[in-house]
Amino acid sequence: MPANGPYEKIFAKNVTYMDLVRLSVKESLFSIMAKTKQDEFMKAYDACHDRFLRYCSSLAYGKMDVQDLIQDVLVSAYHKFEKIENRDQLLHYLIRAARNRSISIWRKQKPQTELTELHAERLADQGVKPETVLDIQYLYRMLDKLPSKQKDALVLFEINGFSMKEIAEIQGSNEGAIKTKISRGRKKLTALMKDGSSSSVDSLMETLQTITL
Amino acid sequence: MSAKDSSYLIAIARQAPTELSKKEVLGFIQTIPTLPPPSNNWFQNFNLNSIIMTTTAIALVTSALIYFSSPTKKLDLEPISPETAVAPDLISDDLAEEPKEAIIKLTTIQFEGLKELVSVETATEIIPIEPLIEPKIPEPENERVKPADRGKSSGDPKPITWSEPETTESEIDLRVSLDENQLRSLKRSLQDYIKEDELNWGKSKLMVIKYTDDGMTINYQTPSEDQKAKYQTLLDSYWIKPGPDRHLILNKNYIMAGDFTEKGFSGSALGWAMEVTMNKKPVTITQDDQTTSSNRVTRSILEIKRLNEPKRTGGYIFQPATPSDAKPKLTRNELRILKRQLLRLLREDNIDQSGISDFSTLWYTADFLKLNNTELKGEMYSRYATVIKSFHIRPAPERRIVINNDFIQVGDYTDKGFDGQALGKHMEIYFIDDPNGKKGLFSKESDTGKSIMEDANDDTILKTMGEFKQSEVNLSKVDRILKSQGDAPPKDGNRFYDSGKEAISIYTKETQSTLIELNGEQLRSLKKELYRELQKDDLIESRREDVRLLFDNSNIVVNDNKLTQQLTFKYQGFLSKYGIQSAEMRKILMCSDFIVVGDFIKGNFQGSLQGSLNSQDIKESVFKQDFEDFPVFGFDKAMKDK
Repeated sequence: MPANGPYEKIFAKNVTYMDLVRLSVKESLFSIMAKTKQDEFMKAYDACHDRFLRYCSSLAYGKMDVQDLIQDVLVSAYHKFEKIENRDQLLHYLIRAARNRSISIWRKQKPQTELTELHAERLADQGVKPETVLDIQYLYRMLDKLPSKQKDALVLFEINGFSMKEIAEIQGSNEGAIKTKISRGRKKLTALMKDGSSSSVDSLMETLQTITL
Repeated sequence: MSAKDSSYLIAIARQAPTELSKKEVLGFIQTIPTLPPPSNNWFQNFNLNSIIMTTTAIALVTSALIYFSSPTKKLDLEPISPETAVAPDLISDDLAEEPKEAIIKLTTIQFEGLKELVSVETATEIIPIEPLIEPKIPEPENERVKPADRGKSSGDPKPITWSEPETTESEIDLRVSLDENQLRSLKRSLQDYIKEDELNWGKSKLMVIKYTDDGMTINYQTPSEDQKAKYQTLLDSYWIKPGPDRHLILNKNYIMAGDFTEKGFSGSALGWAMEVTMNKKPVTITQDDQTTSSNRVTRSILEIKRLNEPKRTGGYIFQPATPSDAKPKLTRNELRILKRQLLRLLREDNIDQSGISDFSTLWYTADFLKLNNTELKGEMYSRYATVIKSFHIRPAPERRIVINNDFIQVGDYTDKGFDGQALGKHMEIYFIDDPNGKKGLFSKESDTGKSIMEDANDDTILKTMGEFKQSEVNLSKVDRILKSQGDAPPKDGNRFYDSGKEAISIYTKETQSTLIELNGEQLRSLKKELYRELQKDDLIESRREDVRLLFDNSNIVVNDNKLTQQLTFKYQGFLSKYGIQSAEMRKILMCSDFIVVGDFIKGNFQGSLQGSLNSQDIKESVFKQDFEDFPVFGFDKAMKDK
């Protein structure tokens, strides 16, 4: 029996047979309930995984371990799963939670090398080619230079495939504003890439060396 | 590495596997039930930034509070020894009760405002005990005192500064020397304090504060220690120190702060000029103390009377009194109520208001009250006089109330014109040229020997339209027309009238239906547009030029230049918009100061005008020929006078 959780109070008493029965019944019920919830949650999450992960990757890139971010968000989402009225909206909830979490953890941190390396490793473990990793990281670096809302909208739209309507719901905005953000984000990203192509060579080389090592 | 297309990179990012596999994440999810739920730890919201900002804000607010908070004043409350305190036990038994009205014995009442102080039925006197002390302050020199400004009296008369008497340095420190604003604020503060401490004298608004070295009494009551300290602090803030004869006497109309001795008042005052004296007379009072001895003690009685002029007793700032026959100052509501009450009386008395005059006149002097030139006596007098006096209208040689259903006028009607207040509409003022040289307003019961009907055609009616916005200055427009340069008679025959923004229309009963009548706005607009057109057509050089536009048969003449047929047609059309048709002897005279539109016929001007007219300026201008033969406000005379 775990020491934490709802069992502590029961074990403080003098336990009788009936208590044990009740306890075991409760435990069973608890575990059944937990299992049901877990299954439901996992089932709901299954459909969200790719988009949620890609979003978290772009968000956490160089700032924090994406695993920590995901775990924090998932724990929070799991415990509030009953309150989420529309289970289909779990992805939106996860995206919002991830965004809020990222804001609360860091403001303007500079990309940390260890994290970028970790990111590269993980992608490599997934069978991603090194040059693709470089491209992705380059993209993430450029995206990081955009204003947060533009970056957010662009990532959700371009990388994660959310519709403008969905993005408007997630960000609590309207479609017109989202459209504007995406448009401006694209333009700025293009400009950044043009400007950054020369200066990025050194950093790319550095990353390449790290990966190959 | 070449710059790659962003869309290409985005496509790669979209298709690349996720950083963590689904299996890994689902495996983690399975462990979630065993994990504690996330705590709502609001401490997470705290970061260095928020801590710094919050701390800084708190520090700023705290330091501001500390810096700006006034230190508590410690009142130096000196214990009062029985010897120096005002001895209430010296006041006779019957005076130990709550003071009733009529505490101050008034010798002369010159106005009705002090009525509240006197209650003849309950003439209870509280006689304070005053030690007889010779005044220390030497008599001031009065020769260099400036006379009061006796110009127009206004609601806020200005103080006059007197020359300072020669005094020693210590005496200078003791003098009460306050300016107008200080006296006002002191009066207000004292009234508030006394009301707050319930030290009023019953319903009386009079307040007497005695502030001597022996102590302080307020309305002859000894305040508590706290109260005393409060008043002392207040008086100290105005540099008023205790003195042997120091009193502050105030009511809603005046304040006097200084020394009241047998020789008079010396100090600072504001408001009505009052004479306050402390008359000594021997009174027997039994002292109710342990000595059980009765003594003949000298008492002083405070006497207050109003003055017409300030008495020069060495005061430093004093206020010239409002003359007793000052013109009435009624609010709009008061005028309305007065009109209603008088009309009711007139109806009850079946006073005929028909006829040419269509109004009634009450002539209110110190010697009589005449209604339509009939002297009122007895009960009838008292009924009308009561109403008039209740509005604080004082009698004066030329004071009249002119009233009908449409308007009421209260003021002085002299040969200079009307000076007073009025309220109403369609107000018409009749001026009758009497062969005896009398001018003014007459009712139909005129004693001129002529009936008004016969004078009808000779009446020139001055009419002004528009709403009277200010109740205090109701006839300002007409007032300005009728007065010439204030109260003083015109100098060197110069006449000056100003209609302000509104227009004045002049006509007779005969012509009122046919004449040109334009209001102020129309005339100003006409002037502006006409100047613009004339300048556009090069008929004048500037908009400040004097313009005489005459209608000569079918032509229009501007500054002696006959216009072409085309221009005449144009201006006829232009002027017809204002209702100005061509007519014989019809003129438009305008300059930067005024515009006159009307008919100059048979030695009379009838029409409308707006602006300010100065006979001296007109005399030296092209308009002289237009005014010199026409009695527009007596300008004809002014044109001819040297």
